[in-house]
Amino acid sequence: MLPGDMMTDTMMSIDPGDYTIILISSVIILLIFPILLYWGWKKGQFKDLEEAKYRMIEMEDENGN
Amino acid sequence: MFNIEFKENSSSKNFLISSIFWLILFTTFGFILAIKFFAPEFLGQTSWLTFGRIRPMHVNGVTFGFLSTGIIGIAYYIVPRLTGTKLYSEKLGNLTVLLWDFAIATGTVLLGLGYTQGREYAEYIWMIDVAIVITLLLIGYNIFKTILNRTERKLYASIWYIMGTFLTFPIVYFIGNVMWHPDTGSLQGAADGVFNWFYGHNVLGLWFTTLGIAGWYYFIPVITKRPLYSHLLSMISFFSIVFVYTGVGAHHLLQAPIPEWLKTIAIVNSGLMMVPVLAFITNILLTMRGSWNCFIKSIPLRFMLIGTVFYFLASAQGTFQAFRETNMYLHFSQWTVGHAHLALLGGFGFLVFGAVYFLVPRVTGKEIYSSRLTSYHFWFSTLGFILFFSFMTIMGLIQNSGWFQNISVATVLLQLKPYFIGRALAGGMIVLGQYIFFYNMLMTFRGEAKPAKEPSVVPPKLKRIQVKVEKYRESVPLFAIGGLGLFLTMVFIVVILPYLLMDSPPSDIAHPYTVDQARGRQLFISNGCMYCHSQFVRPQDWGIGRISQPGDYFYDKPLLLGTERTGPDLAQIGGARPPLWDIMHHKNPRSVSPGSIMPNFSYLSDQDLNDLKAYVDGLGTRNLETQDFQPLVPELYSGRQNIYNDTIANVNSSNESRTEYADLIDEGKILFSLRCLPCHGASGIGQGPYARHVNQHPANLNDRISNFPGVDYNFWRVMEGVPGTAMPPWKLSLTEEAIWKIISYEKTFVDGVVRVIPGNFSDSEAIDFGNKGIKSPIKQDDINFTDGMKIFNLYCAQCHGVDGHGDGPAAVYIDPQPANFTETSNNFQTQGQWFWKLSEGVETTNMPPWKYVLTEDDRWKAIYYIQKNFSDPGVFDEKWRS
Repeated sequence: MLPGDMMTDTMMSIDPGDYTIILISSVIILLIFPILLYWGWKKGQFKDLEEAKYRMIEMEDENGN
Repeated sequence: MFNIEFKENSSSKNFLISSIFWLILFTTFGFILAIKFFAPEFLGQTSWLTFGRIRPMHVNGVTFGFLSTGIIGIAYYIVPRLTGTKLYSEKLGNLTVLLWDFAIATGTVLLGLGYTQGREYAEYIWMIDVAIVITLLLIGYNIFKTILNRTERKLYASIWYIMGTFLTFPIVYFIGNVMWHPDTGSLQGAADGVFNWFYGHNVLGLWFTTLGIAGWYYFIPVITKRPLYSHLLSMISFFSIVFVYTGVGAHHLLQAPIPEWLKTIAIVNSGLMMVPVLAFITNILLTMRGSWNCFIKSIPLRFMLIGTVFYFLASAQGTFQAFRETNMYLHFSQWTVGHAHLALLGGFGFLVFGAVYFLVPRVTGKEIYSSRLTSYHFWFSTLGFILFFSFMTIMGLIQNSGWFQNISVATVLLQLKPYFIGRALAGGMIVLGQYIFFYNMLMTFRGEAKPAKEPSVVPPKLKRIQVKVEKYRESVPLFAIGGLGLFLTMVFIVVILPYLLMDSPPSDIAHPYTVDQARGRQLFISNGCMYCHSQFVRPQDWGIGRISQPGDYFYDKPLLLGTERTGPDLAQIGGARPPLWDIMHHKNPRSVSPGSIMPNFSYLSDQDLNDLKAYVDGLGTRNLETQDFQPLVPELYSGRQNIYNDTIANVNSSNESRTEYADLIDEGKILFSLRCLPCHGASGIGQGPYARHVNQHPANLNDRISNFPGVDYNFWRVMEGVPGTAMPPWKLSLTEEAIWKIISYEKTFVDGVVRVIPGNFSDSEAIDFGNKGIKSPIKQDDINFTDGMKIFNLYCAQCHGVDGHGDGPAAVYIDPQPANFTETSNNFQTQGQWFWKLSEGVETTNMPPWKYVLTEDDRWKAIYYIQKNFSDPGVFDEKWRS
């Protein structure tokens, strides 16, 4: 027996009117993130992703550690 | 003690010094708490030394004092190193040290005095919250200004994590502490739990985890002098943490009355949490390839790597226990306390230990005083922690197992004492390690700065070249919009949406608090009662009230659901104990509850004790009804009806219906004889042979079924068994149809059997069998007579009576009446006739077919005893003497 099977009918449900908020939010999220991804890509922010990990070791050496 | 010259690294150094100081203070508090579990009178009856006051001091102290100051110190050190510039303002950095320490010190004193908001991890009152948020913003400002002044174009992973932390955590803190309600720092009703645990979990997910990973990603490559295995993996880990971790908080409330969809989101996110966790641990392990010799040589690295292991285990454990099935079992016990310590002390605590050993020489120019003491610290902490965690995990499993069998909280608590002592000893070992650490650090700071023997102690000289600064800022917007966007999206889903949608009217047991009750509630909060007493009845709880509903909490602000059930749940305790018992219990718990480990609240005034009593006695509602002695039937079984109702109701409507009824009783009786008779006896009176071997006496089915609130209750008990007794869950081996047949038969112990098959039918069957000339195979001697007597007394006397008069204890309800052997024994003409009756039973009566229960020899011995003892001597000699 799972707890879910034993839940009472007092658990809350979503009012149909509130689906509008959820729908609009979902569409915005779906649109914003691909746009940001594209923008970042065009700006070259995905180039040489691994560079920083080598630089931090070099910097430590440069700093005398 | 603080360095006020604002030298380079002084902010980092002073945060680390604070961290060490808070570590000693707050782990000592933890040790005192551990002792109080088995010696509740330890440190007397002073209010600020009671469990309920020290616990929030310990939890908030290690969280915001020791750990947070430690990781902020780490962040202040890392950021300049990875950006190639100095910290934007050491002056501001040191101001934040003062502000932060002031907030912790003041908050701790106030908690000791009972000024608390009563929400776990969010106990500090509003004034302290304001100080913390302002300090967080100032630290964030200092760090972001440093990053914007950087000379390095690419931002290393640690910087992403640190920036993410200071962008998101002030928001988490503000929302979670409901800071727009300064009076209580809470919302009204069940929604408060959603906000509390959004915050409670994200102290871990978006504060310690993000800053901790920043530390691990910095220190491990630097110490091993090997670059991180994959920077891309760390980016994936970062974005998944920001999105997924944000939404897991509701997994603390899987049994609580919050929306089911929110729980499902939390469970899914908890599963997905393994994505960043696995990405992190994979990255660390692959970075360590070929460098494991450093693990032996470097104690700072050893601390840090052990920390990553504990962190990984805590995360895996977190996912494991976030599923409904595991959570319903592991909830509310010391298992969870062990889990919290595994993450905070085991994971991030060990990181801070390692970081202090690594950084102190770098920020002070002084060697660590004693490497031997460092080693002692490592071994005391590591071994102590493994024992400490093991004791809590075992205790949790014992508690959960007991509760699952419906053994009361108080009874289970008694079994834990050896483990409480073990936990305190292991905790003492950890604390001893920290005292060694403190002494080692004290001697290090007191010592003179030494010329460096090796590069490891040279204070870094940072580059101060700032060229084309503006060019390097471009990656911040993407990070800020992307990371913050993911975070805010999840916040909208798991915090804002529930806030908008959770609107439950008061339930039947919700009631506004009277003035006395409201004062009592405040005392309940300020004395920390909710740390041991939960206030919600979960779907799996039996016998402590109906399952809690959102509307039960309509008048509650803050919500006091609780996270541990060291003492009994109080959600619906109102009226369950005499009100004056409550007062005595609060004054001297052990006088009325012998095994209790509750603190003594005799320091409260009479007025306070009355108010506290008024609150506790009204919880749920002051229930003085007399008919609530049976636990409520769980939802799955509630309202179920016997599938054979029609067969029983229409028994006499036709020949077919009579046959159908007889078959039902016959089949039910066989099933009952095979499964239920051993405990409940053939008569259902609870005097079966096995009844002598159990502590909880089997039910007298006549009495019990008469008082059952409905047949659904009977069905539930047979299907699921009765926890804490020998009654097993028969659903594991019988079909529902078979169980309904048994229940139909058991009901005859209350209503009697409709004798649709007359006695002469059974008689003629027996005569036919007897005419075959079957004889008893046993010797008619004293041994078999004695055996027969024992069998009769154990199995048959409950109906037929010890003297065979048909007046056993069950005879008052067995209908048709049991036979009186002093009258009927003379009627039998053959031994086979007897044997048939005993073996096959009698149709549509409660006489069972003993062939399913006793061997042939046993049946013959019983017959021998009955005949010799109850029939007339002449008749016996004439018919049976051989």
